[in-house]
Formats: sequence, C-alpha cells, structure tokens
Amino acid sequence: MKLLEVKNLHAAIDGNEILKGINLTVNEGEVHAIMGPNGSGKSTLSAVLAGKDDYEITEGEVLFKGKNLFDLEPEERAAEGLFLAFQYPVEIPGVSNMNFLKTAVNEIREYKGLEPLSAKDFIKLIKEKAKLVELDPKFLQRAVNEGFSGGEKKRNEIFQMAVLDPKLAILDETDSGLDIDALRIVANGVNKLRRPDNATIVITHYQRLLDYIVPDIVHVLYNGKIVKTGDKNFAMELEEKGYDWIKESV
Amino acid sequence: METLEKNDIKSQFLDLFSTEDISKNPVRYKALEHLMHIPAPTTKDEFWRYTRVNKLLKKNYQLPGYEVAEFDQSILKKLPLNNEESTLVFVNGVFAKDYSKIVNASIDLIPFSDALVEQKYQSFYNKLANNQKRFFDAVNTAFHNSGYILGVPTLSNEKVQIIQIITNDNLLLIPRNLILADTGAKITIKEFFINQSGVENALINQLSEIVLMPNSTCNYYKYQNLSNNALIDTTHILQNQDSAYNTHLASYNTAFIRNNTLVQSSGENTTTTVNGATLTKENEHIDQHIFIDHQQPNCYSNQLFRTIADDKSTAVFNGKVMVRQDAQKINAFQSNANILLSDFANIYAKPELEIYADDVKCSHGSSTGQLDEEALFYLRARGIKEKTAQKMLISAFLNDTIDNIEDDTYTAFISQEIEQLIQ
Ligand SMILES: Nc1ncnc2c1ncn2[C@@H]1O[C@H](COP(=O)(O)OP(=O)(O)O)[C@@H](O)[C@H]1O
Ligand SMILES: [Mg+2]
Repeated sequence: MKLLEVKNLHAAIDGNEILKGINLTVNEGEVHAIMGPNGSGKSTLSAVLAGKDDYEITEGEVLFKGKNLFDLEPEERAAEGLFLAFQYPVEIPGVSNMNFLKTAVNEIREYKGLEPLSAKDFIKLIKEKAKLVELDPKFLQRAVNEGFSGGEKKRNEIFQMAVLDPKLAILDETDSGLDIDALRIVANGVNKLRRPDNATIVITHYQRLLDYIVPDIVHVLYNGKIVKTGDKNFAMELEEKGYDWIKESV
Repeated sequence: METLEKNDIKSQFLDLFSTEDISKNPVRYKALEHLMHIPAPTTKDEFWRYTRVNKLLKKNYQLPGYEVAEFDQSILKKLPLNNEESTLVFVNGVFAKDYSKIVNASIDLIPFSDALVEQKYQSFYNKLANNQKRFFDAVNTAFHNSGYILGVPTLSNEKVQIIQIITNDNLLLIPRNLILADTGAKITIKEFFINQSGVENALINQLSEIVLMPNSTCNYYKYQNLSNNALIDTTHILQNQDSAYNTHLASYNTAFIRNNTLVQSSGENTTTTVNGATLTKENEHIDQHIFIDHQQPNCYSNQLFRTIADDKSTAVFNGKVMVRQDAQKINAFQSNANILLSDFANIYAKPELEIYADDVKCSHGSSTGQLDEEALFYLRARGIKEKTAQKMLISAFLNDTIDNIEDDTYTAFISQEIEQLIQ
C-alpha cells in the first residue's frame, strides 16, 4: 500500500525556489535512501513534509496514507505516523526528556481517541525502547538534547522514533557525527523497528550508513529535483564515482 | 508641620492615622517629617521610569481593624506549608495567634512592636531604610501597622513561614519587618502574600530590613499572588562578611507589584543570589527592581530573572550592580530574559553595571523575544499540540529561576502554579 505520494512538489523560501518538482512514492515495507550533495534540498524536503511553516508550497501535492498532508498541522502529521529525525535536533532547556515523551505519547493517543498511558505502562515502554538504542536511562531525566554530544542527540532521535512507533520515518543525516559504534547502534535500532507495514526514508550523503540499513530504492536529489533513482547497488556506484558526474549530466 | 493639599496621599495618611500617636514615637515622627519633603515618585524619577504610582495613590484606603477577621481557610490549605516550621499568620495585617506557632523558643519571632524595637533591636532598627530619599520607605517608617521581628541566635538554623492574608477591599496594609541573623545563623523565610477571593483595591507597602551578621545565611522566598490588589515591597539587606543572601521572587497574578531588592554587601566574601519569575497578564504591571552594591572585595552576586508578558500587561526588570573602587575581585552576573506573548504587552528591561574597581568579572545579558520557534516546531513534530508546546516552553523558561530554592515542596508548588497560570 502507498504510504507517501509526493507529486511535482515545489517549495520556496523568501521567494527562492528550493524544491523544483519532486516526485516520490513510498510504499509500506520499503526503505528509501535519498542521497545528494550538500545544499540539494534534502533537509528542505524533510522539513516541508514534517510541516515547518517557513516554506511556501508553490506547486504540487503530497498524500500521506491517502490524506492531503498539507491539510494537517505538524502535530497531526506526527499523530498520523510521520516522524522526522532532525539533522540538527533542538535543545530545549527545562523540559525533561521524560516529560517531553510522556506528553508526546499521550497527545498522540488522545488524537487517536485512546486513554493516556498509565505511569507504569509508560515507564515500561520507555525502558524497553531505551534498551533498543542502548540509551542510558539517566538521559531521561535530563533536558531534551541539552548539553548532549552530537552522537547522543542522534541516538535520542532514534529513541524517540522507537517510542512513537511511526508509519513513516524520515532520518535526515542521522549518521553524521556518529562514530562507527554509534552508527551500528543507531542502524540496529532502525532495523529492529522495520516492519512490513511501515517505511523509512534515509537521507545521507555517505554510502556508509547504507551498509547497515540496506535500502530497497536509492534516489539522488540534486538542485531541488530527484535526478536519478536506482537499487541498492546504485549507492555503491555513487560512493565510487562521487556526485560530479551527476552534476555534469543534468 | 506643613499643610497638605486635599486628594494627596499624604493627607489621606494623616487623616487615617492618628498624628498624636505618631508624634509619640521619634522614629515615626522623624520619617513623617521627611515625608513632608519627598514627593511621591513619578515616571520622571529614574527608578520609576516605567512604573506609575499616581493612580494607586489616588484611591481611598482603609486601615486594618484590631480583630482577626474571619477568612476562608481553604486558601491556607493551598499553600505548601510545613507544620514543623514556625509560622506567623496575619489577617488584614492583624496577627492571628490561633493560626500561628513557634516551634523553637530560642528564636524571636513576634509581631512587630515599637516597644520591643526599643529594647533589644534598637541598634538594627531603621538603619537601612532610607527615609530621607525614598517615599515608600518614609511612608512605611511613619505609618507601619503590621509585620514581624525575627531574630535567630548564633549558629542556629531556623525555618519560618509568614502569611499575610487580605480579606478587606481597599485595605492599606503597611508591614514592617526586621530580621537579624546572628553570627553563623541560618534563616529560611517563606513569605506568602495572598488574598481571599474577590478582594480588591488593597495597597500593601511592606518594608523589611535584614541584617546578616558574619557567616550567616538568609534564604527569603517571596510568593506574591494578590489578584486585583497592589504590593510595593522593599527589602533592604545588609551583608556582613562571609554572609549569604539568597532570594526568589515569584510574582504573578497581581494587578500591581513593585519589588525593590536592595543589597549592601559591606563585608568580604559575601554571596548574593536574586532570582525571580514574573508573569503578567491582562492589565497587570510587575516591576522588579534590584540594586546590589558591592562595597568590599572577593564577593559574588548573581541575578537571574525570567519574565513572560501577555495581553496588555507590562513587566519591568531593572537590575543594577555597583562595584565600588575598593571592591576588587568581584564576580557579578546578571541574566534577564523576557518573552512577549502578545503584541500589546510591554517589557522594559534595563540591566545596569556601574564599576569603579578594575579587577572584576561582571556580565550582564538581557534579551526580549518570542518563544523559540525551532523548539516549538520540534515539540509539534513529535505530536504535541501547539498550545501544549507553548505551555511547556513557558513553564520551562520560568522554572529556570527556581534552582536556587532549597525547599523541594515549595519549588514543586511554584512550578505547578506556573503551569496552571499559563492554561
Ligand atoms: N531557511 C532558509 N533560508 C534560505 N535558504 C535556505 C533555507 N533553508 C535552506 N536554504 C537553502 O536551500 C538549499 C537547500 O538546503 P538544504 O535543504 O538544507 O540542503 P541539504 O539538506 O540537501 O544539504 C540550500 O541552498 C540552502 O542554502
Ligand atoms: Mg541537510
């Protein structure tokens, strides 16, 4: 079943067009990789999908689970099962990870018409998911991302993903800033969360992560457009040849 | 004595109070004489630039009676009170013995009395109030009609709760407090200014003089939640060497508040922390005024204020640090951040440093803005409604100030109240 359909999406900021006609379809069970040089528009695409309102949608549409994505507020998209692991996770002093996640879990449950989780069930859920990404439970008492190292922030993103259990996760450069051990832990977490009824978009500009999270489909985003699409071997090819040949060929 | 114009607050005071009584007491009388020569502050006055008092001073007021008024006791139950701490309750300024208690006989904790001052506390009384220059100091010294004396002997550690409850509209309440921490003593005061629901138009002009002997500590937590009433609260603190003064001001849900926290650090190695959380709504006006005067070397001071202003309200922060010529090796820090939630709210922030010594480390930062958009989006992207996300950020922002409070129950209470206020 189709989870996400992006059709001829154009988006601009301050009058500058950054996404110039993106087409992308993601089905349940699939892992897509989006690669491409810096400044291509990868983070812009993920931010537009998650609902950041800095961007103007100038053309095109996006359906998520058949619903018009742009009719939904960011929190409604999240409640429907869209998850963005931020390239630059935000520090929120004074809000503990615990309080943050508890609020998120229960507001999503409220959206779905479910009762809030009991304190006991919530703790159980948190403990189980923390284990999955090998996160020290001490992190839970700390303020969201405050004073976290780059790697800790990324791991915290995957932890949140594990807790919220999304239908579609978009991982924006989750591998950057991770050493090889952390990379393995993060990839391992993502793989364990894979199911036939969910999907993942992995944004990266290194092939390295794709050794661990093996994609079904690989796209190259360049200058606001998807210029090439291939299978997992295509990523290998890109690693060897770099992006210059793509820049030249378009 | 000079004659006074009608409608002038001074004439109202004189009508209300018996001048005969006042002239019997030389301290009161002297202050009254000063008062004749000091005009009420206007916005032309540097320290009152953003805060007008003329409207407050034009209202008609009534003095407290002599009996303890009946009051709705459920308001006491809402407070984070500790049964094991000495407690003074005042209702409309009148000492309510039945609700009060002293748990340790070795301390002095008593309703203010001129007589007691004359005996034991004479050398400390009225030494810090500036009746020549400060209008509300002179008013307080001349006319005070409530308050307490607290003396904690050498090396003892005492916790005290002071509760001032207002149940009369248009009450003019003038508490005078004198606090003395003897050498090595530690005092923690939680002070609650509250009103019975629906009570309005009262004016409170409190003045406290706090003397900290060498090596003593005073923690003073001020809870100011007075609905449609007004509070002018001046605290003079004299810090001798190695003493610590540590205060938190929780100021919200009140039509008018002006706090003056005035610290004289007159000994070496003193520590001073002045934190505050201000939240204004509707037409409320809350002004936090702090002055820390470093007169001696090797001292530390820190001010941390967070402000949220909504609707058509006004909040003011004016924190000043002075480092005198001989006060070398001072570390003085100031951090003030303000968030405007409405286009019609006003925040005036004026951090000031005046430094005459050369070997000092001082910093001051002040910022006024909106809620952090990035943080808001991050929370919403995790499924949290915009309104909830805003509340989380506001309460985190104000809660930043409560770290210096050494009382977990009180801290939790303030956090909880803040959360409720930003519904
Ligand atoms: N807020 C913004 N304001 C102006 N330009 C932006 C903004 N965000 C992104 N851009 C521009 O859009 C282009 C794409 O950026 P981005 O989506 O971050 O690329 P990528 O994630 O592929 O590195 C870049 O040229 C960048 O400078
Ligand atoms: Mg990017």
